[in-house]
Amino acid sequence: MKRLLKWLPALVAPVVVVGAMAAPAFAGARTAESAKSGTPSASAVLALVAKSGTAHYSGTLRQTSDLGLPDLSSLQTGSGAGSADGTAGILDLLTAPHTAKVYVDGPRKQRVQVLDSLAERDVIRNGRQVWVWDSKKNTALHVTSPTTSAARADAPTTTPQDLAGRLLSEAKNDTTFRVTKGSVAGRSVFTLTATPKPAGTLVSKAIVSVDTKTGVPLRVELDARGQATPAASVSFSSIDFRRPAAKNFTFTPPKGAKVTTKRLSTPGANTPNTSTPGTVQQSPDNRRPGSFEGPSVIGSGWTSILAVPAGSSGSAFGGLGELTADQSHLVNELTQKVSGGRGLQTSVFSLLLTDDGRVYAGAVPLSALESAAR
Amino acid sequence: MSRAEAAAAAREEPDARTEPHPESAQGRLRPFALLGSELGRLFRRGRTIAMLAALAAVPVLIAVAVRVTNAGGGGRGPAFLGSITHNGLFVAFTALVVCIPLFLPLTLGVVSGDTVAGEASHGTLRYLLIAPTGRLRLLLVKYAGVIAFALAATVTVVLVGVLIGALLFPVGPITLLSGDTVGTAGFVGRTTLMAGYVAMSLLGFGAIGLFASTLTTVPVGAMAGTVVLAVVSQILDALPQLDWLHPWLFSHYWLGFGDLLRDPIVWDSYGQNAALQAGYVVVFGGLAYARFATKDILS
Repeated sequence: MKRLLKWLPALVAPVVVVGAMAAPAFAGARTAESAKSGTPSASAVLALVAKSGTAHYSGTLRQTSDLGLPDLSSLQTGSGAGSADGTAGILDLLTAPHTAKVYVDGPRKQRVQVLDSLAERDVIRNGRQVWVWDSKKNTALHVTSPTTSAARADAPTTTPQDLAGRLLSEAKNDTTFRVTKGSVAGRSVFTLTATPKPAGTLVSKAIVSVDTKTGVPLRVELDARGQATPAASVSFSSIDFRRPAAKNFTFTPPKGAKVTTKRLSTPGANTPNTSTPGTVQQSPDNRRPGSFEGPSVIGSGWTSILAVPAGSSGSAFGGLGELTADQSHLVNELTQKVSGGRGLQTSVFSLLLTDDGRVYAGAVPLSALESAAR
Repeated sequence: MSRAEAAAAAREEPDARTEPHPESAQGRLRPFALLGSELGRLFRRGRTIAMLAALAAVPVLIAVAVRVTNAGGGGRGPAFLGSITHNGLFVAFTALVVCIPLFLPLTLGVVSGDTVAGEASHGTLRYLLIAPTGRLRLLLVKYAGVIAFALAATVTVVLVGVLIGALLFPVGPITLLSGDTVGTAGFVGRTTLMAGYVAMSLLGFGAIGLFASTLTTVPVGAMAGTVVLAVVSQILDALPQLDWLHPWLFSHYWLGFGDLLRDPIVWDSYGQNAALQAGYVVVFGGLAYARFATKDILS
């Protein structure tokens, strides 16, 4: 008996540890239940989001994806997930989970800090100044946009409610909306679930969870048909609605770093997309001069297909023959051979690269892209 | 260490090892005598000194290699390697990155695997307990020795790294991962935090070693088992298919000290790591106590 008693701490310890881990989850569940009262309409939720542009907050963002693609971080040089250039950088964002810190102070000051293991990528926007920093490559890109106020003036003067209403009435034809209440990162949220009606799309659900007080989207999730885990999700694991310190939005390139400066001259040009560092670094010399035939959209709604003609200015892709050895290795690793080109089938979207340089993409099965390409 | 040496070590600390009664005046006046004797014995051992010297050799080797070849590796090799030629202080960081996966667990595995099994194999465990020292107290003192070694090992790597880096390379403000630079005060603060973080990361692993050490009277078995566990844990951590398991592996946050080199400092991994290590210490400490308290001490 006495011997048994001495084993007691060893038996109790795991219970205590697991209990301590599980306690916050239970607490979260309780607050979620207590928030059961009237839910707003879908358009009210979208209007809430549209008004959140002036909000200030900082938080930790977790991004996971399960697109049915292999985790390709091992394909790149041993130690480095996320160190690669252009395409591989985007691939890394698509296939491996990431944690990022987000700082937002109104519409003019934002910072996304991607926390890689022993490395960091930053996109910092402070008014007209945008800095893109990569610690592994020791490079900084400095983009100065022309007066943003001019671009702002062009913006339509519709109220967020109008915009949300119009958006929804267009989408209602092939989508059903549902609003529920829940909790994300300890905040109560309205969760808007959009379910596509057409059977031809790979997307089974798109879910946005919006903070009830500020309208800041706290979780975005895309579900694929026949897959239990979300195809992609971006979610705050913690958020703080105090104003972030001003020094979070300043950046001085360190000594020894390679600094590239870019000035966006066209008035009204958009500042680079702050959410994906990879796209910002796309160099313009990849583009082909010549025909200016732009991309077109085939079909509508969830089953629409984006078609980019060969050699168009919007396409960085110039046919399978023009890839470098590294690139074609990556393409072969990712895609499968289909008639007339190479196709990529993920759980929520497909991509078709034809031999003559055309690109088709959409949230539809690969076979639909093939028939569109014919 | 031979049996004779152990006997000699025990003779050097007659007060601690042969306390007549726990309630005696002497015992109450010197409550840390056992701890002092354990630490003294640990750090006076030839093996401990050799292991610390081997750890100190890592930053020296890195610094000399970079100095002689005068190349930063061109982006390849362990993190921070490329920064060394600009700033010698990065030698400390590179050395930590290199030591964490194998050298630190290896040395700590040797120390923690030896704790109880070593005494048992020398035949000194019986005398320690006859002294009499409570089994719980002995276990706590042994674990304190493990913690002390984890700290000493980490501090050795960092300090030697800073010194050799300052000796062979120019020294200046440190560029953080976020691209900001900090001066001397910031560097000292962050390096101290980092040494603390790395030492703390090893606590759960040390507790596993302590438990393994109570299972056997053959210290080599406990050491090898513990070190193998560290390798297995890191292999599992590298498999993306097991990502649900990753946050529960004791080695998962080992390289998280990079978060201390951001601006502002990201404390998430510090907190998560502390909670995880505390969990491992509680579970394996409990197991070690249960095993040790119920064990028949035959040697």
